[in-house]
Amino acid sequence: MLIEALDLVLQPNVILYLLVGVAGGMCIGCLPGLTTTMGVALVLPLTFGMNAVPSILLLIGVYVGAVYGGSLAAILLNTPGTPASAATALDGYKMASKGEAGRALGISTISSFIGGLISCVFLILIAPVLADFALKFSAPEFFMLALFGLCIISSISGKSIFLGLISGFIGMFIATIGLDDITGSMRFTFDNINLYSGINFIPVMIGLFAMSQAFIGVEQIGVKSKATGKIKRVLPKGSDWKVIFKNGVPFGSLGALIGTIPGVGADIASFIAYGQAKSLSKKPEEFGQGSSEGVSAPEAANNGVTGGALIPMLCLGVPGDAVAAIMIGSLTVQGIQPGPLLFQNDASTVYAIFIGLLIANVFMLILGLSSVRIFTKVLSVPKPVLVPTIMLLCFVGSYALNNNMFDVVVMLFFGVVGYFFQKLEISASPLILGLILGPMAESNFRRALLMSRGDYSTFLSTGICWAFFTLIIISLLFPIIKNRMLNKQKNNTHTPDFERN
Amino acid sequence: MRKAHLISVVIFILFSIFSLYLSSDLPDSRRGVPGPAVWPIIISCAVLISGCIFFIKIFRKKESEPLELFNSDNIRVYITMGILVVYLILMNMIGFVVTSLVLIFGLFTWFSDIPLMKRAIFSFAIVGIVYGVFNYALNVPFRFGILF
Repeated sequence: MLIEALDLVLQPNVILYLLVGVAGGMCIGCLPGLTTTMGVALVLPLTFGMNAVPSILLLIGVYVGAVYGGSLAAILLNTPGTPASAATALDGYKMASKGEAGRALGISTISSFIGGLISCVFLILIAPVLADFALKFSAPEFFMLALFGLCIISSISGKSIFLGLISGFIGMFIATIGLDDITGSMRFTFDNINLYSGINFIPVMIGLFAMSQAFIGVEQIGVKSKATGKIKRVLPKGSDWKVIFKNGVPFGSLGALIGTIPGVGADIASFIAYGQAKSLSKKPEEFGQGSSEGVSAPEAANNGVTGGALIPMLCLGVPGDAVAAIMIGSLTVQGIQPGPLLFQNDASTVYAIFIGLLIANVFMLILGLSSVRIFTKVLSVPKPVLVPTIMLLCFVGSYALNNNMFDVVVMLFFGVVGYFFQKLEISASPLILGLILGPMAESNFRRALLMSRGDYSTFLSTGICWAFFTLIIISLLFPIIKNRMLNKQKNNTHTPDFERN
Repeated sequence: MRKAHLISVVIFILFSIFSLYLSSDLPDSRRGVPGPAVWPIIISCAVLISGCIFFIKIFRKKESEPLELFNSDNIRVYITMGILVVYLILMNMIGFVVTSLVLIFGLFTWFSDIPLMKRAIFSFAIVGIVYGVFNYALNVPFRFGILF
């Protein structure tokens, strides 16, 4: 199996795709305003003509490169290239301002590599075990799993749980458009032939994540940014290695663990790691003033997420985040269905993904240490050139899926929707996840009721179902309790002032 | 932001009512086994309930930070959206390369003060690379429209 997977990955073209993916991802990641999800969504159409392994590895390369690339802009511009590197900016930019830009970039690169490496180990160790366990799932368990995935993602994403849920439900509703698989009835097609096979989620993703971001770029077209600090030596010195290993290993593991939870992305992981590193540090007062630990910990954590996020995607078919959702799209286009059966039916592809992730991290280290000066040149690409190019790529990319103009219309529509979602602080991720999890939830819901002859207690008939049910309740109540506690805390701090007055 | 949230949630509620109306035309459950109508009805009800709760929550809330939707930056975005709709229609009629060149050159001109020659070179290079990669390397046919 391993030899078969190695044979799939160690092809010159696959290695080249991985290298190009990491380099491209680094360029995308370091450009403020271009998110990792947007980068992966833009590259996705290029994979339609490829085989399964090269296509998914190209996307993994972009993913790894973009998560790391975000730190370049965070350190040099004080503007995180991606939300995942926002925590890095706190100390990275301060280091760059002191003339230590190279040192900060070196620490960030090696910490990211360690985090990425740990996430690979997590993926390799946990994924097969989880997939094996998931083989015990039948229709009721899969329904509860889909519901749990949607609830946790909706409750975590965005500022309001209700808006997150509405976004997810709308995604699920869009997924019902087209031919009903079980009865063959048409739903919400309005006699439009383009809707008979449903709405493909790839143009929706390109619209929501890439086109909407381009509209935001148009809005901020006049905003200019200038890099700070000259990059001298990138390779860390003696004392920095101690900091890197002290933070890289535990926070890389933390990131990998957080990555396995659907919906909790690299941005949350990096802030948790930053907070923990500060509380554990012997010099917490240096945090925010250019602490090397403040760069190392969030970078290890955000790259640690990359492998962790692939675990629910590969084992359960549930995307851990929006990038994993795009990867599911890529695998589906190739005729591969992620989920527990993937490990049985297409194990070589799974192992190829493991090896590919490992190689992508090695490429990230090599490129990060050797060519960081070249990548920082990308920061000088003017927005007025970048934004129209992204728009053109969105049009071409969504057309390339089926050579159909209707997909372009869908992309543009969701681009507009995505823009207003961003303005209203509604997370678009639940919509996409609803679109992906909706059919899984519906088919298993109906299949379970078909098997139980309409008995709804089937959804709580096993221990696994109860476990998912408990997790659903916790995930829905957690943000409400958290908000109440925060409000209570606020009120308590305000009361003495009020009494004094 | 409060007003914008109220308007958006009303749209979501209206959407859920409309989808409930449409779902009622679909075949219902038979002998306890859910038909094609059941799932969309459940989702529409979920949107309706979440929307109503959010509406009440926002209605009680005091005005938060204002949301700018009609300043010059927003209007630039709306004009761009309009341009893209026109581009989509014209691309189908005229062809990909010609309309894309006009679009890219036009947007460069509008958004930046890059010299004319550079704008033209950038436009040709970007459209050329995109067309080359997708049409020749990825075999995506761009054979539509009366021109090229």
